[in-house]
Amino acid sequence: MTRYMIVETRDAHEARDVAWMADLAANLQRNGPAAAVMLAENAVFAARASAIAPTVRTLAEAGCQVFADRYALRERGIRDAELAKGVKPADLDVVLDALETGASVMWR
Amino acid sequence: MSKKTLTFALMDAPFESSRTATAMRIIALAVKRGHNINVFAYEGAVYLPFAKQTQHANAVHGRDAEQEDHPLPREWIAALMQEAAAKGAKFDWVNCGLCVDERGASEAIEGVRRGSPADFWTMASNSDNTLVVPTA
Repeated sequence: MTRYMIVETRDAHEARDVAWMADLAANLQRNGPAAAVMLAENAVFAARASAIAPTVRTLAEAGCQVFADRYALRERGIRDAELAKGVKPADLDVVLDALETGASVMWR
Repeated sequence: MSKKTLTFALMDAPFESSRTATAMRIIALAVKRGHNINVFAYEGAVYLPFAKQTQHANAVHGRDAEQEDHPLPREWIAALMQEAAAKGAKFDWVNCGLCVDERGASEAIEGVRRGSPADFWTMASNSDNTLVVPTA
């Protein structure tokens, strides 16, 4: 069960703080509680396999679940086939699922 | 999933940030699932249920107001309140009173009440979970 979920909305190419978010999620995951990240809005740019930002790699190497908001992907013309390995397209239901089960959800 | 009570704190003004639409999408899902919803609107978010929001024409698109059909957050909120009521769920929207006074935003749609950050504390304390959506 997801214990922590971070909703990241910022483009990793614009906000260096996104790397900090990825480190936080990775460390939460490594230290026991399951951590998941939902990439929404401009954050989905980092979900592309071609993205230079290391966000997804950091998260995937730590074993975090990484979701990308389907709505945000569609808005930006990003196809599922373009996503980096380990990124799962999902609806915002996964955020609500986390809230329902008592996870700590942080919005960035 | 049994009925939960969820609290959301919103801070962004309407028509400015994508996060308002994203947050409203999550709230809409929660309403669809029949949960009780509390929203505490702080800072510019007190304009989300502002009653005088009006659709407008868009000269760039070459459309009149009706054709443009510009979305208005006050209508989203009213629809969510209606849907929650139809499902027998509570939907409590509290506008921060000081934020309202600062902005002259007292004319809110029906169902919105005035409060203070103390209401947010009470809402969060009595909820199963809380999500704070801060300004960008």
